[in-house]
Amino acid sequence: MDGEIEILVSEEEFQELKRHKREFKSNLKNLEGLERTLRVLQYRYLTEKLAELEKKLEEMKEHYSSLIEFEKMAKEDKVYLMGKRSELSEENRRLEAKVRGHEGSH
Amino acid sequence: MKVVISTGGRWKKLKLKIDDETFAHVEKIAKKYGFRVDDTIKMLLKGDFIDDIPPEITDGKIEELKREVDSLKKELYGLEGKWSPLKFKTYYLAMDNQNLAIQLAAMIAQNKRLRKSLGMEEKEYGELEEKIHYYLNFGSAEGGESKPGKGNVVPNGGRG
Repeated sequence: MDGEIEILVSEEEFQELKRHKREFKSNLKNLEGLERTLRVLQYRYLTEKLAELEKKLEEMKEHYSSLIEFEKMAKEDKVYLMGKRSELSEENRRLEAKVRGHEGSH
Repeated sequence: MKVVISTGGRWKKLKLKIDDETFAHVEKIAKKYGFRVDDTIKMLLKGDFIDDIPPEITDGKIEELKREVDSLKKELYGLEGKWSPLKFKTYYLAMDNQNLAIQLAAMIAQNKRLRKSLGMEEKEYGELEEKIHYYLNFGSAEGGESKPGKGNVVPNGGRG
């Protein structure tokens, strides 16, 4: 099969690749070297990816537990604030009545 | 297989030939290690191969790393799935508390006014005022506010 593959590169990369044209034939015979290189590059990529994911997961776990803690606090606060609202509402009603009583007696 | 390297222009072209068997092999290696064929050919042309390879880098080790990466991704997605609805829920819980704080701030002001009119002593609202202050400022300063008691998170819910 006589196919063709076109690779588009930048001007800078073109010049660099052009300089290596002569070595291409001998490099083609070193497919083992190519395979070793790709193996190392993939190993590096995967170890970096793993470290990145470990870091992200650690951060996420921290955020998640802070959120759980915040939810607990906010729920307790809601009960507390609602209790205080009824207390104050009752007290203000009583005081309001007293003030009205005072005003009425003058 | 004919390989044409160009900058996209009409004239600057570098033409190379790779026999089909070798090309198929290159393609196979590239696919095996997750590389694009064009990048692999460029690498082949430059010949900048890594020769000094630590013995622990084997295909088996790579497979092991792939499994670890997949497992961490799975764990992360699982946690993200639980985290988003919780963030949403706590945001609305904090908004409820903010509404309560607004009401309570008005009620405390009223209480102070009434007590003054009746010549009564002012009441202390230390803890309550601290909570009111916190929820009134909720979301306005990401995590920078002083918190009532414990907790170190100011979720901003659906706002990003």
